[in-house]
Amino acid sequence: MGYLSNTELTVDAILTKKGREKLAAGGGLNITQFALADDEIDYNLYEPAHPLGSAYYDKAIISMPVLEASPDETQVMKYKLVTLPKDSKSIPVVSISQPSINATTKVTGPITISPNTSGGSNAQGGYTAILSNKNAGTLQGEGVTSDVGSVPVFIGDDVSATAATAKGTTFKFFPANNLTSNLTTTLTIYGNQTGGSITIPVTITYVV
Amino acid sequence: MAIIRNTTVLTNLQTELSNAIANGLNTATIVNILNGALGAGEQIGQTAFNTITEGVYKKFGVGDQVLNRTEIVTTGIWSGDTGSLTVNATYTSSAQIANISGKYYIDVYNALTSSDSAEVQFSIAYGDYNGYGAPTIGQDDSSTRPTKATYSQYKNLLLSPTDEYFSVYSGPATSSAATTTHNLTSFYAINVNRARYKERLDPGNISITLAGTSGSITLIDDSGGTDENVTTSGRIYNLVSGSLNIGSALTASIKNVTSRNGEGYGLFYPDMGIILLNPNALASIVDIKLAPANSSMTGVYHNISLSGSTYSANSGSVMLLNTLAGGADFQVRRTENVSTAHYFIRANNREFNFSNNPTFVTGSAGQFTWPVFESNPKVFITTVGLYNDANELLAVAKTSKPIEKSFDKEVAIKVKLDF
Repeated sequence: MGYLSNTELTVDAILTKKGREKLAAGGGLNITQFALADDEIDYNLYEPAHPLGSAYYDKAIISMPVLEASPDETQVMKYKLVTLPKDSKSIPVVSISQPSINATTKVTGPITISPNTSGGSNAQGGYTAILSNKNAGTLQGEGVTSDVGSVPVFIGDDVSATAATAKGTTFKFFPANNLTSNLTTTLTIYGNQTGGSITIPVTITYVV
Repeated sequence: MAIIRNTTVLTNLQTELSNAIANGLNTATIVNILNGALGAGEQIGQTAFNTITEGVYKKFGVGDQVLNRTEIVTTGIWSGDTGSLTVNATYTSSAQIANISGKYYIDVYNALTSSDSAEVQFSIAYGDYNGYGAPTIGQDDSSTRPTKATYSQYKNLLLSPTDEYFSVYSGPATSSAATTTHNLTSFYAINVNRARYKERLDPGNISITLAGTSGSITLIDDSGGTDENVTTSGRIYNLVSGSLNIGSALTASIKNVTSRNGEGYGLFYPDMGIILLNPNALASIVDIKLAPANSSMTGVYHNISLSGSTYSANSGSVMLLNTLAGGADFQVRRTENVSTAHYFIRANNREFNFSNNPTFVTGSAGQFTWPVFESNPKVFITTVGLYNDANELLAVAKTSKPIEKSFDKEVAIKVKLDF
């Protein structure tokens, strides 16, 4: 008679910087949901042609020791697991029509950004757009109610100090007119439900 | 399992189910109707019907969070969470002793101060009500009267305003006959470093062995034998000779409550991390050089025993350090109240079976790296993130090894968060 395997694991969590900040502010943590991630896993190590058979397909992955958690919320939970129907043939991919944004300081009208998600939907949660350098312009989000969470995991205090964020199903970008030199940054759009993202370069050219 | 026989509930359910045929089912309404008939602890969470939602986040259901629990955690107080410290008389800082602070206290380390791992474990100070053991201002204009200042400092910190002296046991060695009436006019203070004891020391788990030319003694506190005496400075216990009897089924045993001179050994303030030792009591049983200073002399400090001290060099606090090193066993534990929350992460077989990991997919359309994943995807959990409604990552936990997840497997992970 063998031993039963214990399927419930117990792990110790640590507070992130954001969590400590919430506690210090006295508001409590108010944890309401969770997500799972497979940071560190390289699926190229999966070997369906392993000579020892199916029990060894994932041997290289599950034998790997896992690093300790980092309290920096910008460095963990990068690659989230996602729930999709069983017959899914691909992972939802967030895309936008513009491969890049190029504007000059003379441009006054907004540039509309309409993200799409193929193979999934972010219609309810919308998207979160992060302009890495908020000096590049103003970002406005439209189409998502305010009660939907908007801050993705990747944004931390350091980033938020210099970045502009917006939430919506579509976005309007107003390039800055007060620049005195060219500015290059990035715009990243995250699917708040599917977790996928896309990053494009943004260049604002100074025109006299 | 609850069996619902409430006719109102059943009628409402029938109505809702009829409506559902025409208009779709409002699960929130169904849950509210059912919860109206269920008692506390049996009620269904709104999320019970929404657990299979596509996306990366999953709401905790009712009962998935166990919050506001307090656990008492005890650990050894010394560096590395060890409970026993082998005191070494050379583990001090000559620079600190030579400094003005050396006239007040001696820092004791866990290693040579030249070592990267050296950390202050505790400090030894000498306090004297009369100011003996340090020059008077008449003898030295620049004297800061450190022994008098130390006594006053601990008096203000540990005694009520109406008390002038610390009191220890007096009388025969047995506790039934002894009374706490002897006033200490001097003491050695062992002050455990704040970073070591954190919240408080653990009464009933302190054992200090001192060994000198006259003999050795092991001191414990009498918390097991007396009711707690709680004052403005927290709990106070008397130090007595005895044994903790660690490793046996016996509780701590007290041998004597007073020393050969009929005086108690000292006091233990677990909430303050302070141990006060009676110099006369220790001098009578451990080493005469532990005796208190009985005068003030120019250039002589009982705390560091400069040349010309009453009992020559290596008396006073330095001698206490030597006898601690001779005893070679200083056991103390600390205890903390830790607020704990438990979160039960339940990923059923249909959830979290795909990954946004860039190695999980290939190409720009999100196709899987391995075609076999189209029929039987497998992912490997390494990280659990706890979020608020704003999707802010507040706590994170890592598994000890990757956990396989697929449509054939369910995973339950209990995440413990201490803060």
